[in-house]
Amino acid sequence: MMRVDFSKLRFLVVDDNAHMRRIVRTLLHGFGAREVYEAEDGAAGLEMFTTHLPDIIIVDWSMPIFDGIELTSMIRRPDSAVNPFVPIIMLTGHSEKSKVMRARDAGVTEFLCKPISAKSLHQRLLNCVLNPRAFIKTRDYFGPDRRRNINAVYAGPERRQSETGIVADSGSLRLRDGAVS
Amino acid sequence: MSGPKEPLTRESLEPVPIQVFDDHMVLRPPNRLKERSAKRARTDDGGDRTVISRAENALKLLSQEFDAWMTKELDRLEEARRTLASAPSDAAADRFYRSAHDLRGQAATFGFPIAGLIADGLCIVLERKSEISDPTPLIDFHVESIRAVVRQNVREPDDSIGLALVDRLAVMRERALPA
Repeated sequence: MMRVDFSKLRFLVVDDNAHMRRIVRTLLHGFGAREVYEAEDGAAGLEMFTTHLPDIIIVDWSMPIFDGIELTSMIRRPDSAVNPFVPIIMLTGHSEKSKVMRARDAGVTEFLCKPISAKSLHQRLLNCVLNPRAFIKTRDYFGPDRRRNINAVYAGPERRQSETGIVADSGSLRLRDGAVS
Repeated sequence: MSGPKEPLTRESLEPVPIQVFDDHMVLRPPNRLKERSAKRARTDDGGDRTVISRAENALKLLSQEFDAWMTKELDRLEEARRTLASAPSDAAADRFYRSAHDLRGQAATFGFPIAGLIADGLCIVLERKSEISDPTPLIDFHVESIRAVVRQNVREPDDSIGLALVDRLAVMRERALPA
């Protein structure tokens, strides 16, 4: 059994509503987190992402300037000079399936519907730390594997094509200079 | 603003193994978050339940401010509604919608779950208002209903009068909106 020490992690909370930011910060501190940064819109969130390199981002969907989906898309750029693999938890009042699918297709790691609870947020954070999914890059998608569970009894055709080789990502080496400078 | 104390060296800054397929690639970044923060649980530390209850207690302390916050959010909603009515614009409509959307997500946390349900209905009306010939009365009725349940201190999620109001608003929406 593993336990996560949240004091070792750095968080960024992006939400235009100050009350919700305070609630999330309170819960994170309750879990033991010490480093919690806040941004009140997508633009400020992107700036803090590049300057503070958070380990996990918690972002609201609906925000001025650009929203949580747009922020996620900007972070999930495979050639980004900053960590494009950072776990992103989408915190939102939208619970419709179409919205969940849209968030998933933007590259969101976890989806958390309001009203928020300590238990639900804790569970999403554990998923990010202990059970991260591989990343998939296709012509039109870069983000966590959207197949959360492997279906052992799936009998249909394999939609993804066969493996052709394993290579090292040469591009990621250049990330260091860009991010630390 | 002062920067973080630790050097900015994070797990993305290293090679990532990639499997290449015909139409996609699979990247498996090393899980440095787990390496850095996960530790074997002790038998006497109370487990995750202790961590969660500590956060719940922190939220409970914060909840002393929730009544004031609910009032502020409701004032913001009504102010946005007045602004939209007196000077309609896309920005005013967007502000009003975001205010309703915030209430939908926060009202239950603030102790007013029925108000959250009504705000949810208000968001539906605002998202589909172009399909309604005159959405103003329906919108106003939702806003006034949220104010009423807060004024009457309706906090229980199964309050019979509150739920009757929620149902009544749902019927009004059904009648106003095409299937």
